Amino acid sequence: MASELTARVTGALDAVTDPELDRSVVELGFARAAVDDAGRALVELRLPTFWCAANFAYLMAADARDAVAAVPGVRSVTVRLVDHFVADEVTASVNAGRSFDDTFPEQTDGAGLDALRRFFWVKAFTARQEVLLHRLLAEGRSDGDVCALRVGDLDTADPETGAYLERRVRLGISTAAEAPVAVHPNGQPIAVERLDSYLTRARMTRVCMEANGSLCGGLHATRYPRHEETTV
Amino acid sequence: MYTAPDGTTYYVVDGHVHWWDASNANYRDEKHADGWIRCFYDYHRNLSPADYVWPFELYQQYPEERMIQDLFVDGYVDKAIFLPTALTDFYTNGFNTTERDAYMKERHPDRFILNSCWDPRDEEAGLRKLEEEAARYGLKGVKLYTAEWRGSSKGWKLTDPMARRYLDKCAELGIVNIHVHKGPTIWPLNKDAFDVADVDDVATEYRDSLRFIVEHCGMPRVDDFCWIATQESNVYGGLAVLMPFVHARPRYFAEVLSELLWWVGEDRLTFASDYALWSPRWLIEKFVDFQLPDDIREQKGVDLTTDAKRKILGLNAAKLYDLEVPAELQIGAAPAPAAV
Repeated sequence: MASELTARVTGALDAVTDPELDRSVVELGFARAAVDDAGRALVELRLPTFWCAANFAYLMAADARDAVAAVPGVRSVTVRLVDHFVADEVTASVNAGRSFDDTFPEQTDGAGLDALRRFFWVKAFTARQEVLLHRLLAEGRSDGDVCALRVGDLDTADPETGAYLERRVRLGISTAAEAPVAVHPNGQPIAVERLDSYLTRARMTRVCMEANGSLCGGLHATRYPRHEETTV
Repeated sequence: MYTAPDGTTYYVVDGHVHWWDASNANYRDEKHADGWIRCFYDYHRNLSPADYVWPFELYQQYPEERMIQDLFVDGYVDKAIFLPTALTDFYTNGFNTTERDAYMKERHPDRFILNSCWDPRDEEAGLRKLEEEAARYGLKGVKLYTAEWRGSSKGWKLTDPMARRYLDKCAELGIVNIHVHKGPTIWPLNKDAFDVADVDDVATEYRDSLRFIVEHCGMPRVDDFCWIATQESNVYGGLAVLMPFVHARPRYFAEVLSELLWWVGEDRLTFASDYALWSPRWLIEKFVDFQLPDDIREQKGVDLTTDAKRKILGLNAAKLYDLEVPAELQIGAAPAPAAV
């Protein structure tokens, strides 16, 4: 029973992303979970470097706590950030439900992490949209065709498209059938004459995000070689 | 100077080198000092070819002779630019201070360009120190690490009022090359520490007097860096940390470099090993040998020509630091006569 619950918890954790990389913390190997027979879940976060930014680490830890706590059958969640310059602070804080500002009093401006979170959501949306729009163009559509597409024209069963739509939802961009597909992060449609320059810039965002992912993945593999894997 | 297998010659400036002391004996704050050097070591191990990986103890502290050998004997480097990183909160004598680099510069005056560093939180005393160093060393550049810790303060921004006083002072003293390195912390701690928007602001303000070389091309914000650099002609990209991708992640190297060539251009990118993170020898050999794949060249409309490589490997940095480049190593020089 515990192993079945562990699988469901891992599934929930899989939806948590590294904000910078827009990839699953489970797929990246950054997070893993175990649940005991009493429904107590333990999530361990092992990041690629000791110096991953404190606020990114906090976001992942807090998101992991929330995702796992929502799984039916889980009675309590403990998150443990390890091998990190603010490991103790983030671990204690996230398990006590404290905010980032309260974790580091005197060191923040009190505005929390909402702006940072949105900054990454915009990047993730941009990179995902770039992939989708380039694919739609590669299938033979003109710039005009692509700018005329509506969400209802998309194949929502396609996982890539599903992930793209999910990034729209986060930003509060409509996913109604009649909503235009090619949009700016504020939901305004991209004008056909601007599509090419938009995509040139969006491609850069996507390329950089992928390169960051490649670097972080490599550093993680160096720091935590597979043969040294242990279970939490 | 590097002579490629095809006979092409390259003048080489290594735009970012260190001579650090991260030995246990120098640890002041053990947790962060150890975390710092082990983080560097993971970068080193992960992205270096296997036969260039050092033992950890050597990596913590390497002797003068080793550095000279790696850069100038084996490493093809003509001139190397010191970019000090103080970290005096972590290491008793600092990690890689100006004073430490000055020792090396004194012993090898023709090989090194000595830069210093400053921190706006040192206020008036720091300004006076900068003036003294400018007089003593003839500084043309400084390295700024915005994530440096000072007690409870975990960083600063280029747009902080006191930072502007220092930038004014640099302009006044002819310290025209401002190397900016972003790190994982800043004040306030809830903001994105890697944000390069402050570079944009000061680059506009000091357009006619200072150049801003953004180390690691702003990584992980290379996209935001590119967007700024394309609009600000006094913003440059230092390629440290991106260079080893040429070996370890060649496809990503091609992707990112092609973006940099498109947005920033071949005249404003500078080669760097970040020694001892990586050794210049293999970086240079592999970079000169590297070609952009056809699909990327076609899609992005850029190329990495021999002239572009010559600029990136040395000629661009030579311009920034007024270095004399032998005529035969300049672009447009007649090729050397074939050996008989």
